[in-house]
Amino acid sequence: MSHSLHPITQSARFRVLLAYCCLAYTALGNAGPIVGGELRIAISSDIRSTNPGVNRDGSTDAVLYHIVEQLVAFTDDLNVEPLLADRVDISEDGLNYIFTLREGVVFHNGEQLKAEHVVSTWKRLLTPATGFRCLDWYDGKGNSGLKIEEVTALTPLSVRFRLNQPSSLFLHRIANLQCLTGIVHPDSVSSDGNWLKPIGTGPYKLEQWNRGKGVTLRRHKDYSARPEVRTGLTGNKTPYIERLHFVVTPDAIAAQAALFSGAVDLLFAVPPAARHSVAARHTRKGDVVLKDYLTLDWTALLIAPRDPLLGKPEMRRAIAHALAHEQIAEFANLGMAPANASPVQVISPYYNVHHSQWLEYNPDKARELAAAAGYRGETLWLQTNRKYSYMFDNAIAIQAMLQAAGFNVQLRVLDWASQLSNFLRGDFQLSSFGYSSRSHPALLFGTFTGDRSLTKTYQWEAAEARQLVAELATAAESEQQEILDRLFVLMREQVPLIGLYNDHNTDVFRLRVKNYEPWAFGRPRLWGVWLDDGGTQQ
Amino acid sequence: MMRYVLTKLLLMIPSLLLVSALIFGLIRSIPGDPAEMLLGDNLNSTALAAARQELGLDKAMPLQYVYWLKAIVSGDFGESVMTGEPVLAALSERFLVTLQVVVPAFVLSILVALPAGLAAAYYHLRWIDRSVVLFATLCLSVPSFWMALLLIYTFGISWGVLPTGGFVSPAVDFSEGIRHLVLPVTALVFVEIAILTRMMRASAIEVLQQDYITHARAKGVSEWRVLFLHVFPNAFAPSLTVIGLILGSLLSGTAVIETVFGLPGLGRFIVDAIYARDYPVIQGSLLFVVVIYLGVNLLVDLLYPVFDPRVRLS
Amino acid sequence: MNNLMTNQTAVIKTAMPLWKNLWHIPSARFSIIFLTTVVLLAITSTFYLPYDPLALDIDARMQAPSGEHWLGTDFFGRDLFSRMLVGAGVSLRVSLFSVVFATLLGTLLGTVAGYRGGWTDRSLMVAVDAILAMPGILLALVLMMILGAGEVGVVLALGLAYSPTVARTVRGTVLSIREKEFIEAASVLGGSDRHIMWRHLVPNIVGPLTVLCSSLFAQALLSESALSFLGLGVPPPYPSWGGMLADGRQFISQAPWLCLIPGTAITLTLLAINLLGDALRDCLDPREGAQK
Repeated sequence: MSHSLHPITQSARFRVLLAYCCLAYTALGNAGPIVGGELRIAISSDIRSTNPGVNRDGSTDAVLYHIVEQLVAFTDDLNVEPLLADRVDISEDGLNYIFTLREGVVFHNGEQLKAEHVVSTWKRLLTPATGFRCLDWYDGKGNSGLKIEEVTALTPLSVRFRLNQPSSLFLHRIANLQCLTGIVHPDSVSSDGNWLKPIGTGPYKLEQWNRGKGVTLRRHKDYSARPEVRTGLTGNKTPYIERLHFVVTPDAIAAQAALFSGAVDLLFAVPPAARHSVAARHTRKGDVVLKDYLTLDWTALLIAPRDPLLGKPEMRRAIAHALAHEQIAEFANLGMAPANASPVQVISPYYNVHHSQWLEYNPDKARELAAAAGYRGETLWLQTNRKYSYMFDNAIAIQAMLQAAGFNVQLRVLDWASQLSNFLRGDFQLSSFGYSSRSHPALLFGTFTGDRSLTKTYQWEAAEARQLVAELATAAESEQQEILDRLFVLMREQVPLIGLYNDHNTDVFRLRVKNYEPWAFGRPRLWGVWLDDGGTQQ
Repeated sequence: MMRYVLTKLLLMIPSLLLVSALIFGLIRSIPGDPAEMLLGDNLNSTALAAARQELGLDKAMPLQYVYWLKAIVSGDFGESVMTGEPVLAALSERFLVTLQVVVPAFVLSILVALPAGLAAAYYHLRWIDRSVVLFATLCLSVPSFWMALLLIYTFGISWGVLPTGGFVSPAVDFSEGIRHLVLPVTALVFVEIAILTRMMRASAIEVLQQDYITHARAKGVSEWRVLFLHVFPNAFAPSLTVIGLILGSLLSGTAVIETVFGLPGLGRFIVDAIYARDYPVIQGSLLFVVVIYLGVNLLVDLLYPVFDPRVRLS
Repeated sequence: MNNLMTNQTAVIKTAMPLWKNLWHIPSARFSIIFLTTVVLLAITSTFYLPYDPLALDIDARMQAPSGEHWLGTDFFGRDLFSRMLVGAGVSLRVSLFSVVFATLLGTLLGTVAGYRGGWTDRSLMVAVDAILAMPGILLALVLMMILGAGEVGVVLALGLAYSPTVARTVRGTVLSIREKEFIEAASVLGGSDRHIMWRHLVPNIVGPLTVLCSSLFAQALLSESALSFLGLGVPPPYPSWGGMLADGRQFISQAPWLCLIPGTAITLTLLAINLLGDALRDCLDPREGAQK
């Protein structure tokens, strides 16, 4: 057993100290956590299901990670730390992971968490009939070829995962939010394998789901909190608020009005364009609080890799030179997010000065290169949609800049499903696109690098790049920085796609909501949050 | 009477068959499919193929249609691809919400429009008439979502006196339910008032010129009696068709209003399903909507002779 | 024979002083002046614009109306006045073409159905009723997705969605003409069926069709903005009023002009069209005319 993952790291220890200070302070101010009350959160669409990792979207994830917990989870600074596990021990050859579970963790139905529950949950996830979204991360058929050979309970509180190859990303994948591997009690599933409802260990349990209207969660009274300070999806996750109502509010303006009138208490991931009016409310009335943050979402301009014209490196570089990067970011984010052409996210620990350098804005050079590539003013179609306003805003800015540099670019506004379908088929010339939060840059590189004859969603086919991405999956943590830097240098040469920026978001909540913190994944975490009026006011 | 209804119902069968084929064909012609939407941006070709197979999308199109039709005939509307809930149950639930918005708006508009139209006709070309017509035409000219937006801005944001979104059933909490209904009903009601007033006015003007009205007046029947016993019933009959059409289309949900106010009604249900390519939901709901529409119009046909004895069903 | 004569002269009589009649109705006068102004502005905008309606200006974002930018600027710093001018052209063009398309298709279907009768009529009408039974905006939305968002897409989608209404009206008129004696009279005199039909259809259908078209035009303008609201209208960067309204709504509290101005423009234009339609009906409907 060489590496092991312990909960209390240096920085965490410091945070514990800090937490005690805070506690002391709040005790003096007599404003400590109050148990009780109801909090309303606006979600733009109803959840898809209550089945973690199977039928999901962004809203679904946000609700479900309050209900179920994984063995390990992300921290605020995107490291992976134990959650249900007390510690993780990794064998010398990197093939065996032993998770020692925390004692005293209780499911929503009152039963104690045991190793057997981890085994049954994972068995279910790894059964193709379950429909687990990211089965190919673990069944050897995916990109990296990683496979979980076996999951066994060693003792009542320890589980061993045996892998077919070492992987630096295994824990990252378990911690992933989109492919939630939350441990559930077997009673969550009927005897014939149908999903009933999630019985998890999370700080909240499912109370009611009114389809089309929203979901209500109830405080898990017997939640056993970790001792560390709250961070990411781990640390102390004590629930204080009695009920959480996730209310479906599709219209952004109506959601804002609801916040101002107090009908909802929290809006999350408010885009920069809508931030203005909330900020105005904050200054005028002071009854709402804004918290800004950069997300891991990465927006990009896709350029058809195998197009006879656009496939040429000169043409791709020409387009890159025609775009004033900083200005696009400025337009879409009202100056609150820097441009970022690199898949290494600005808030990633791997982000450094190399990743801030991109092809300079130079329309003349763009014209020159385009002419060299044989561009004669043919119409180029840029696909976008109105569902995701940042993709739309980017497209408007990109079109204007490319036009100004002599490219004849026309917009094609599709509905999201059509654009997504085209993306999957590789059916586009230019596409204003976005990649949702990937916790590790390697995962992001992995989504767009690969052999296009296998999967049309790959934008980068260069053998060299594929080799580097493959290395990234198995490389030791110390080597990853260098590989990421080399990958980005290669990207600057070949322009497989043009990264634009990591989204800036704002979470807004009413004054009575205390101790709320947003984070990079752009979804709310409502444990450790309380209402200063104990929920007496409605 | 029974025979008439039966014939009408039988005649609906080819319409419904055609509609079902039309809906099916149209929906399948839209780019993208539910398997892709279900998997979102983290998918691969094997998962996609598996999902398609599970949803039966790998079969030939005509075969899929026949399967669907067979299921529908036996009352099985299938399940939503996105949420897995049975389509019929979801439909009825959403339809109930739509009803609770549409019916008050509809009743209110009738209560306002009929007297207004009658008054305008009675004072034809006088200032009452002119202002009623101008007001009605103005109402007809305001885009409904703009109106909704202005309502939200004024009552929700500026004054903060009314809830601007969400749905509370008046059956559960009466006063809250009513408060939640005020803005959507208002946004809906103006257009309906406009259409109905104009219709009522036009037919009342026509009735007022008929000989029997002149006779009645000559016989010394009071103006009120003329208006309410002669003009109103005769003018109402032609409006009935329009009322049927309006009700029929309103019941199919008001996608825009429902989206703005966050009401989980039928219209938004269908629009969301269209965007998500949720085939069973779109197909089932559109068919349901068409049946409702045809049903309401049949009902109007049956009611017609009640108001206008000259008309006989044949 | 006698009947035929009087009917034709009647048509000519009302057709001649139509514009004069309209001008005497105050609401119609307002409508004509307003609509002409809008059309003129739209035409002028192809020659002259105060600003490039597509040029982004990062330093002039969301400015309130001022001397420099008469109607302010939008999220991208584009001049709203210039965009409104261009948008007038786009919106009117889209509505006009979709009505023209609907009228052509609907007239064709309606005439064939009414003229042929029998099974052709019955099956065509079943199809027409089937389409009418579907919610128009949803039908247009689906058609837009299939045809692709674009001016052509909007025109085709709205045109297809409206054509059944036209078909029904035309068929009704055709049927009523068929039953009139003067047709029989004409065919006794020995004209070909088709020729007779055409000669009598045209003057009789123009009235109801004009009225219908004006209301369809208004509906098209409304539907285009509703489609934009639902996410699929005329695609940018060239703005339609509906699209501008849909884009502007998210800024309603910080930059209300972005949604008030296009909204007002749409409402006034619709008001003018609807008033004009009413006036047209009054002038064209013999009964209304008789009563004056």
